[in-house]
Amino acid sequence: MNLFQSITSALDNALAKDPTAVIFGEDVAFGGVFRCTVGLRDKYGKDRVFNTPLCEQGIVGFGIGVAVAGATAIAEIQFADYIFPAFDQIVNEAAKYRYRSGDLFNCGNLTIRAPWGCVGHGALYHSQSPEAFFAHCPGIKIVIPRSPLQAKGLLLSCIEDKNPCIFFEPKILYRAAVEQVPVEPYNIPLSQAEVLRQGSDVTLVAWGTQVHVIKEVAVMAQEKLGVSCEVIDLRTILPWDTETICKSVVKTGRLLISHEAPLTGGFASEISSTVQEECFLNLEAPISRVCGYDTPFPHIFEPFYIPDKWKCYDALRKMINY
Amino acid sequence: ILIVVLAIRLPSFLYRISFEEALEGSVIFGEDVAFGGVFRCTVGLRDKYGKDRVFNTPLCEQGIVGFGIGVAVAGATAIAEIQFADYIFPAFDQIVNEAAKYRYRSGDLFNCGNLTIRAPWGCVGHGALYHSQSPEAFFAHCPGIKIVIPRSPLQAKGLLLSCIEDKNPCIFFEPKILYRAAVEQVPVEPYNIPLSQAEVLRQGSDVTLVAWGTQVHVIKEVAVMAQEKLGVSCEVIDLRTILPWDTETICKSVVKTGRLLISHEAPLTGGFASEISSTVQEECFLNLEAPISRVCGYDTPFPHIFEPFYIPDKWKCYDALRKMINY
Repeated sequence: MNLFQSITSALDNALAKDPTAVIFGEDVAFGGVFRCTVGLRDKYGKDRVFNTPLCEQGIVGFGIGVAVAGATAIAEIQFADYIFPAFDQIVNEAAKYRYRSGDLFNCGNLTIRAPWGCVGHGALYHSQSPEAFFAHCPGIKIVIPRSPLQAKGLLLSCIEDKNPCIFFEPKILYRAAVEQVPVEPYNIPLSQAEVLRQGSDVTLVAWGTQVHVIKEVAVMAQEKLGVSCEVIDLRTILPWDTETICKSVVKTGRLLISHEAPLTGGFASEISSTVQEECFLNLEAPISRVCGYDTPFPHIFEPFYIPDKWKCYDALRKMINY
Repeated sequence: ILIVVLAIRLPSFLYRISFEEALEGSVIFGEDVAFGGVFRCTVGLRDKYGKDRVFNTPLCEQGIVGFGIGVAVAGATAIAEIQFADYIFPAFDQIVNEAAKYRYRSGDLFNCGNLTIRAPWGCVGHGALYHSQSPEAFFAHCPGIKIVIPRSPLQAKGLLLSCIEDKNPCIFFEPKILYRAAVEQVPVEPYNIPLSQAEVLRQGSDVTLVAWGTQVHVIKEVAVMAQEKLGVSCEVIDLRTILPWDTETICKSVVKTGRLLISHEAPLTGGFASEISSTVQEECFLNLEAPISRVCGYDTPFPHIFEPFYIPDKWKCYDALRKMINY
């Protein structure tokens, strides 16, 4: 399956297993602009898979209501760039719902899905990676898969998780990434990073599409520099797996974190500051962040903007030679 | 220069912006600004300048900022008030996707630099989840805006005037707990304090303490405690502008002291201390004697009755400082 098919499969499993589950968002009824919900309305009916008005605040607000009422709400935001009208609903309502009611009520049944990240032609409003905005908000979970197999397991875990979750789907991988994916449901645990490649000289951390970039960088480093890289996919941004990352940095002494989102206030800053605190005496070089520039996401300048393998490789080389 | 002691006659944090000549096209708007504002910040301005320059808006933050962007693009100076920083999130899309990107997306043909957004900010003792938040870190990840937080009346007036005159959309957070509590001599004439310049309030040699807004006063006390109890000399820095921030002053200080403690009320994870910490460890790696310490709020919503336990008080900061000294 490709990524969008694995998402459809996960949603199919969720609606089959949980009779209260509903999917809603803009254009989900006909199958979705990225084909993630194809066939689900026919299979489960128009009261379980339905369109909403063009109103992200309403999509999430309604989703919170559905979740609090006891049904499983799977909301779709058409592009992560459009999630900001719902920012108040997510940050001030959904995230704080359980806390403010002293655990009498909660909207843990809510999962929000949104296409995420650069796609080659997205420009300012179809390319954003807004995970860092939400990472500063206690009360929600943020999950970003790197592949179809990961996506299905992580999405099912998000849907079943007892907290409101945001699930960002790398849109550039919707058709490009293809793997063998089981049709039966399965879960991949949240808040567990995955070590994709063992190494001893430097730790590379990324999530979503960028994982594939750092995998290439690891190969380049081995071939050109004889440097052995440990490659880690963070998978869950919030709450993140500090243990796996720190354990790796204790071993290697060097850390490079990479994401498309702008550098300032990006999630690499959180990882960097925690790791320098936990692994201070192990660090051989400053922790490196290879990220997007502090500008809006550009249109024609996208190839210059994104943290490609050459930028990552260059930063890695500087770290090795520090 | 006539200097008025505002403490005697007026609420201390009140500022009377003299619009007079230079800012003819300026307007103030927001919820309840007409009668003077829930924190008395706009008292007298409607009477003085008229109802077409100081007016209320509907209860709609998205609209307040959206309208403000329109005013700014049209060429007038828009000074928008959001009643509490906690309420700024309905305007998040307008700020982050519209205002911040306006100049860039039009190739500098248009911009909304005339927009300034003001909002009361930070803990106040009884604010709870929705009247205590410090949302600066959410906005710090957004290129295209400036974020400024004053620690005192004198700072506030100069920084706010700089924000209003700055050619970029600015967010100005005002520590609400200081509205009445902080009192200083403040000139009635206009003056500017430059943006993106941190201020060293106290020179020191052993550890650098960085904060902004109300927390500056906490770390000032911590510096005194450290000197008295530990003989430790602290350099105290008020960051003042969060975005773009003054990396040079902070790094120069850490090169000297070798230790850095950053403190803010906002939750730890993804808070602005993380950005300062990661940049400083990169720039001052070989100078650091101990890990950079972040003393912040916990990763929970801002509590009501648990506020005294939640906020990064001087004891928590002192404790972290001691650990750093003994590392």
